[in-house]
Amino acid sequence: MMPDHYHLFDHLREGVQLIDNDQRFVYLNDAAAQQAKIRPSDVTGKKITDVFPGLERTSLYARIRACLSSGSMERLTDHIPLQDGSSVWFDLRLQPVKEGVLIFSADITAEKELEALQIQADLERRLLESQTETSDYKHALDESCIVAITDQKGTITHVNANFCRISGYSKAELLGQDHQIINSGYHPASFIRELWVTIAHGKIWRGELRNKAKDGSYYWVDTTIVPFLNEKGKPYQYLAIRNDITARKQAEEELVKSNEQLETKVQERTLELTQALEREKELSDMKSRFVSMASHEFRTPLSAILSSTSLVEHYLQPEQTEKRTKHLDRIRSSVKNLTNILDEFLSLEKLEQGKVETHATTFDLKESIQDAIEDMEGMSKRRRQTILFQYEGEELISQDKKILKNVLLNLLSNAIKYSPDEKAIKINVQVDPASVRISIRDEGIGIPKEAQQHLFEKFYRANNAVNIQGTGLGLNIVKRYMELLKGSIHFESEEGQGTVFHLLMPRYRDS
Amino acid sequence: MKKILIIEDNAEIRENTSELLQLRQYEVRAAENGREGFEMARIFQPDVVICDMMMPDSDGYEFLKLAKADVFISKIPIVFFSAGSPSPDIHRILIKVANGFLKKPFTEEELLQIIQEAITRRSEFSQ
Repeated sequence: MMPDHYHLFDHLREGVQLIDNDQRFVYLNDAAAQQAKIRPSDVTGKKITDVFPGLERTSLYARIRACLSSGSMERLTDHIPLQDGSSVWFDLRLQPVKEGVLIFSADITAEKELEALQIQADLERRLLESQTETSDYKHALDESCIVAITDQKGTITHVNANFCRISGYSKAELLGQDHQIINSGYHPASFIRELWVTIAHGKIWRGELRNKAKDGSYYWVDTTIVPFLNEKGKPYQYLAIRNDITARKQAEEELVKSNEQLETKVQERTLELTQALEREKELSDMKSRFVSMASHEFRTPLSAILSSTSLVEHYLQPEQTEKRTKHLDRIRSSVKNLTNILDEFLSLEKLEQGKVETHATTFDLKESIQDAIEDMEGMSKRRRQTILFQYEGEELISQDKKILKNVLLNLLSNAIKYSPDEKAIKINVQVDPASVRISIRDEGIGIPKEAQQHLFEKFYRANNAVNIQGTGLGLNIVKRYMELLKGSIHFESEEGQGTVFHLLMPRYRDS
Repeated sequence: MKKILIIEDNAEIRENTSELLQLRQYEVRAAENGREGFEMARIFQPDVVICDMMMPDSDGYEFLKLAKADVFISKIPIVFFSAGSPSPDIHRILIKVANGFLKKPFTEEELLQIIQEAITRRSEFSQ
């Protein structure tokens, strides 16, 4: 039964209903009836679950039971299905009373709907925003990068304008192809394999690639490939974002090239320095050869002079005149010998400074050679050597007589010095209308093979000649003299057999 | 009379050195190269050998090797006299092994002194 004072609720704007402990309607005010779309007379005394068949599944029902059993106060918002199939949102307060439970309800369906609308509007706005954002990103990416998308097999499904521009291919040419189309062949297979292994495992790959454009030119791209993964974590497509770094790569290559050039320059400089050092060493070797030669060549005649002087002092008696004379001659000859060495040095010095002048005169060559032979006969006769002379052709030539005689004396004295006793020395002359050939042949010790290329070097002495007196200057001077005569000198020699020197010069030396 | 063997390729120096020593009552023989000197030394058995270093055919080093390997002359003192050497190493070896070294040009006194010293040392050694 409903207490009378409940009628105080009849006209309240808030819905009020009383449900007894058996979950039956006892009282509903007008607002509650209106909200639930029922008439109080139809439902009073009926079980709430009978009136609202869907009620058992609502939170409200659970709270009613809780309120009835434990006397707790409840408050909730719930969505309740009505008899006509519609449903209403309620803001509900459950108050335990001694008759059962008193339920205060407010219909908040309108607010809920508004709220839902707001949420949807908000979602739509956010979706729009996010779409705009995505499109901004895409725009930025397309503007700044070379973009391509491929499927999981690598077939190109999308390219942007930058891709087409740099590769020189049209979109139509690229779609459906794989990246083989721009493969430059530059990268080793292992490098490409590593790229595919990385992205096939769903990882991002970054690196620098050299690609080939349609026109065959190459371009470098800094590349990032991002795999897009399906719900199983497998890549279903790849996004490749590239940037043109051709200019940077070219700059790097230039740098490498210029480094290489620098390296070459350094090597050249090193070589120059090494050569300079070698020249320095040669000079130093020459200096030490000179010192050793000068020491020996000067000391020997000086020894003779000193000992002959001592001996002259011993031979003071009148009957010793002959001995005295012999030693005085010996002193004179040694001094002459020293003077000759000195003259050789001076000639060389003059030659090297270009101070030797030539004066061509017309003279009898045959006579001149005979003079030279006579000059050397003292030396050859001591060794019981013979000098044979053969002359063919005209006798008059026009050359520098003094220089030619020097050459002949030098070669003759060499032939005598380097030949054993009793051997023959042969001089052959052939005068043609325009040229003069002279050969001087000996049967001496010969010139060792390894010495032949050095023979005309200053201070050079062949191995088999070091113990024989000599300055190592004679042949160097002879060669320079022959150049002054506009002629040449060469030789043939075999060690132990002998040597022949050939001279060739013009018969008429101009000026 | 003490016996001296001179080994020297240069005729003037060979003759002059011989004469200087003969004037001092030495018995002198002379050879023109190392090998010839070695042959002569075996027969002549000199008290001192005075030998040049640089000679054609066979030089002072060659003589030294032959002499030191021969039981009859290995004990004879050797004095080298030289105007220099193409090889500083050989020069050093010869000076080290020799009983005296005389640098050209030398005075009469230097020659006589070094010969006298070599003879004295030899007689001290044999006593």
